[in-house]
Amino acid sequence: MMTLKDCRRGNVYIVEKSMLKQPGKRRLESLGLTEGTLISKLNEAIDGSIIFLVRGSRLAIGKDLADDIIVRDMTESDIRGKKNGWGKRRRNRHGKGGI
Amino acid sequence: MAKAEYNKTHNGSDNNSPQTEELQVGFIGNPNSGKTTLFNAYTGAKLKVANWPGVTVEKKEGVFKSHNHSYKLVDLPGIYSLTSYSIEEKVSRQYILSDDVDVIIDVVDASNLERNLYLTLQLIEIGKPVVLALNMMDIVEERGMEIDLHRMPEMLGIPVIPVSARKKTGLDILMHAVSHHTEIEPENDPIVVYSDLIEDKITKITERLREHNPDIYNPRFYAIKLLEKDPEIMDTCPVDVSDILDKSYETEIIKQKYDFIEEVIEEVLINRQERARRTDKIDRVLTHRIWGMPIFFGIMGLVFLLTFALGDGIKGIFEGWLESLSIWVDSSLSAINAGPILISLIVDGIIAGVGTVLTFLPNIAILFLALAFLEDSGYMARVTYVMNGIMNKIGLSGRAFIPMLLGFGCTVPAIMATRTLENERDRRKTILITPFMSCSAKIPIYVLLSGMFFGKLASLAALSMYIIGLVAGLLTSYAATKVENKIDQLKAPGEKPEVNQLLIELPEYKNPNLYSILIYVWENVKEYLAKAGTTIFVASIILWFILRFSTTGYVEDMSQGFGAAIGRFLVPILEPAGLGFWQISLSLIAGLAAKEVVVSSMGILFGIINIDEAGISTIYQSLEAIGFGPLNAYAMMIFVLFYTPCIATLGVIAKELKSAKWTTFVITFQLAFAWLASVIVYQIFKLILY
Repeated sequence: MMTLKDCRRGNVYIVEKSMLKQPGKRRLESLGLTEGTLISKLNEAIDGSIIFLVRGSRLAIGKDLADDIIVRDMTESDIRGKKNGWGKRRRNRHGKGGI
Repeated sequence: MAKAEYNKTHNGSDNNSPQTEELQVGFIGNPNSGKTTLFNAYTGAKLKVANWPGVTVEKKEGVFKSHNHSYKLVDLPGIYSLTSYSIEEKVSRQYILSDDVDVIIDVVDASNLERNLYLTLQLIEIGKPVVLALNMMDIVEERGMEIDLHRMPEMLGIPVIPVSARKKTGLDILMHAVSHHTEIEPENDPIVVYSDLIEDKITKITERLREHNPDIYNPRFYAIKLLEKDPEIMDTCPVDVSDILDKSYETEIIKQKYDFIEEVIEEVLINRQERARRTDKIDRVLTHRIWGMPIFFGIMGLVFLLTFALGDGIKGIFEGWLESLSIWVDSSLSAINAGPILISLIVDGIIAGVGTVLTFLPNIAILFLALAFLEDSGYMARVTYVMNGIMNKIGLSGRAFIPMLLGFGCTVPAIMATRTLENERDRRKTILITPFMSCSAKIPIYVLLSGMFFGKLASLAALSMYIIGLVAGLLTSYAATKVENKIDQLKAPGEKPEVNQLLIELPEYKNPNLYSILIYVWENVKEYLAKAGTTIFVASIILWFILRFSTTGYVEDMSQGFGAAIGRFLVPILEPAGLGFWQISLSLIAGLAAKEVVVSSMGILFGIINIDEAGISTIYQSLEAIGFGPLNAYAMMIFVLFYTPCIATLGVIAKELKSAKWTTFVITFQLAFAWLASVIVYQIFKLILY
């Protein structure tokens, strides 16, 4: 199991699972840290605080929060599924039964 | 069927608030979206600033007129979402749900569409007219991106108007759109459609809500909030829906909103470019894991060095003006045969009291200029990250460092900034230690005393106050956290202490906007001038009066006046701290009105009107004559650093703590701390030196 802390700086990963507790969970989700989204670690401080990029936002979080974000490497199918590396296409969501 | 009822209710509510001349428009948006800049572009400096009822969240109102329309504009706090877990979000949501507001302007940072649209979707769900102001289009173009302005309103179902708050473009078109978008046509389909599971539950809840109240306005919004288990909506829900709410669907609802946003982005954003390379480069240095903190302390050292060294240079010019003014006033008053008591009041009281304080204006302007620069460039948010390690060790989150940093300017806004801390304990601790960060009003005292007694080391002596204050603040918080944890252990043994985690958005670095920096500096300088004209003016007159009068009337010798009697009262208590002089204790009491008054009172006490070289040597000689030397001066600086802040600050502290008990504790603690610290410094150095 790999957490945001174990990420290599600059590489892009996928948020697999969030083990976050409230209220941090809600706040990070509102900022776009949802399961399946792309995430990239930019910097790590000595105390374990981390700066990362998610959905175009640069966020700084403390160590304990970073430990609760489980990520995984991008696979071939992820890359195929995501145009330009970011964002995926899902059509026909207007009206019920679209999914 | 459902649509017809929705229609009826909706129109009904519009009839209750008929279209008057004035439209009330709420401005909402994410922090750093340029919302306040846009708001200022409409209202200019004519603002009414108050608080939202019951809370200390600032409410700004302005009026804007265009094409026979009058708009009342209300600036809402910058927020990321519309839950009820923070004061800011609660205030915003209650305002939007109220009947007061006609149209909402959602200010969106176009260069960060994805996150900004999340709030937009929540606003649309509320079911009030929303106009999207697409700000920062220039940055989007700079990065070679394009936004499909035809497709975007189609997908969101609301008008989208590109604007630039900084360049003031698109402002008229935006208000035009607002005036034509006061009513919404309820569409068949909601904008965001959730998964079947959630949609089924929404349908069930809305049906039940309608059974209870057929006139309910926008039941879909309430249904979604109930599924998120929003405490405020749950508490006010009139019907029992517990059988439908098997769990909280908040995570799913958030995720599915973002899924929809991805769709929107996919269709409307062309040449997507997420990252700002420049910010990455700057961050590599400023948030470096080893150099980040030394760089921050270096920057702050430079700020204070500029404040003292550069400020003192410019101060000389002001001193010249004051000197000429007082000579001119003195001679003109004598020329018109004014009585000696009146001349004494004006020259020795008012000019000496107010003037001495005014000459420090350059120092203060430089300090606020530097703070505005740090804030506007985007560096301030980084400081929370750089300092998080240290702050965690003393039981606070890095976020608490922002109020402390602002405290170097003025403690009043700094205390108000503690609102951003969610945790009650964190707020209390931060409020307790923020006054230890020397505010700009203490600068005159440090400059005066260190200039008199420490010669070449004057700047260093003044600088040491900032370091001692910071260290004492950190240690205080550390001790307070230890006590809290001890109490928790007694109450609930074995539980791990709760650590508050840092979570903050780091905005992109930008070139500071000269206009907004100057506005910020001017507002603070104006405040300082106003204080000189009111508090310090009145305090100077009162001081002159109590110093010059006794039961027998006007006295030439001030040691015979009321003031001296009051001062002598405290002499025994201040004696161990090396401050046992009636002049000193009187000026310290006077300093409770405003810290600058300590310096004013010195001016009046020692009969000087100007803190220039001649003035300083006069005070120096007078002080030396009563046995007040360098060690006493340093003890006095320590006392001033820690003792109870000015009345304005105490007012804010009481308001923010909302507790007489805690306010009394803060005051007592600061007084005790100041006394103890100055006694320790004075006694130890006396042992070493003599």
